[in-house]
Amino acid sequence: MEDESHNNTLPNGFNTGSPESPFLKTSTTTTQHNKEQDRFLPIANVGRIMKKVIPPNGKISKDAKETVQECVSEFISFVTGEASDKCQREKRKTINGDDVIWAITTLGFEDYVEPLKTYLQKYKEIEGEKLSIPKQMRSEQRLQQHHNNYHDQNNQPFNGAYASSNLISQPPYVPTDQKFSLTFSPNSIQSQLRQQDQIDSVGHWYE
Amino acid sequence: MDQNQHDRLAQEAQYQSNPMMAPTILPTQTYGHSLSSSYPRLHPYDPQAMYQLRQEPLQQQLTNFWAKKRQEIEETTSFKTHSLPLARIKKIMKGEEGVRMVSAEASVVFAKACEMFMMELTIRASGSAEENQRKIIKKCDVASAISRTDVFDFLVDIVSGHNKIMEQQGFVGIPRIGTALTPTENVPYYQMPPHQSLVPGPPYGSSGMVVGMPVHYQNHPGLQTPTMGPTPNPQNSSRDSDS
Repeated sequence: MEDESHNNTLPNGFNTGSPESPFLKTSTTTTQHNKEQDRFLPIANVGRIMKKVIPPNGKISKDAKETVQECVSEFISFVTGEASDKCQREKRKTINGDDVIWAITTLGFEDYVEPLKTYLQKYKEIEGEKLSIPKQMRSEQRLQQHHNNYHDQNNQPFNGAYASSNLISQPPYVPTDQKFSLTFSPNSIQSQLRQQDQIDSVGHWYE
Repeated sequence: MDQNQHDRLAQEAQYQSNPMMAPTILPTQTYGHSLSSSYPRLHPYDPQAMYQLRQEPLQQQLTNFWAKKRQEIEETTSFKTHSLPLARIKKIMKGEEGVRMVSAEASVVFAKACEMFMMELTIRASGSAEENQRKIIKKCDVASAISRTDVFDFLVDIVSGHNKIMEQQGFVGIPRIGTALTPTENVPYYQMPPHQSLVPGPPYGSSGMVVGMPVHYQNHPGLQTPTMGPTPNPQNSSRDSDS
């Protein structure tokens, strides 16, 4: 609710330049457009992901990107509805990763299940330790937001090279201290060190 | 109920924009000719043989895709960057009726799931473009991919407006796309009042409080409570910077 009202108060021109969709080019500036934009993923992200699986000389029309943009929002709503129903039956308030995977299994996306289980397991291994360090978590969430924006900007060079972009769908990025305000530098350094420790000693840590 | 309204509204918006796309459909009128030249050894109007021939390379593409995805995920070492904005995914999730709290891990899983979904859909649409000797993937290729894939049935409404245009252009004879029209004709469209609100408001007033929902290993009350308190402030600040 708070986020919705906040978005509504922004000038339309400013919203179209928001970091989440830096390359979005549109002439319409109505309030309806803003709300419509909020319920879709940024078309720039959609286009980049689509390009990773087409031949090097292939192209994607704008209406195809827009259609996939609508389809993926529908996919999120479809799966979320199923996961939410399960949570309500079990009298739980929070949808977690396992609920999403369960819903995807139930709805017939068998091929997705194994990769997602592996992905979630890795996420829990790496992020789970942060539960005992609230400050680190706060810092991590802020870093995550910043990295998302930077990643969107930085990922552009990969578009031109199909082979490399296909092989590296999630390029590693190591931020420099200058990217963050001074008040967060100590935490970010500790966070990186801790991350490295966890990764290096995953076997030892959990044995 | 809200979901149906949402679908109808999206459908109506799509329908209104379709006339502008009419010119892009004209080039596909060479459909019959391109098929004949593409497969001279096969009867161009035998849909079963054509379908079998098309399936083989597509299946190989998808098999390679999934193998690559599994390897890629095995090699994942960082969850700091995602190909999709997590905040937007979370917002779309919360637009669903009855959804209260969404954990960070759910958004992360969805980011990966959506990436795979879009890639699979694009691979199938790319196959459709190749059948028509085109290098540009068009909306009708996405529609074709959806109509041929069972798990994508829930998307038929989103692309059926385009199929209507195809019908008007005289493509009723295309077997695969034609069959997709039958079920859609039974679904009521455009019955929603035009002044209906685009996006339903959040169902719970407390949704703003859970924007900074922390990551938690399990849905454990003891772990959940201490971390909820401090998170709203920095998360709100982050969201402001995003906007």
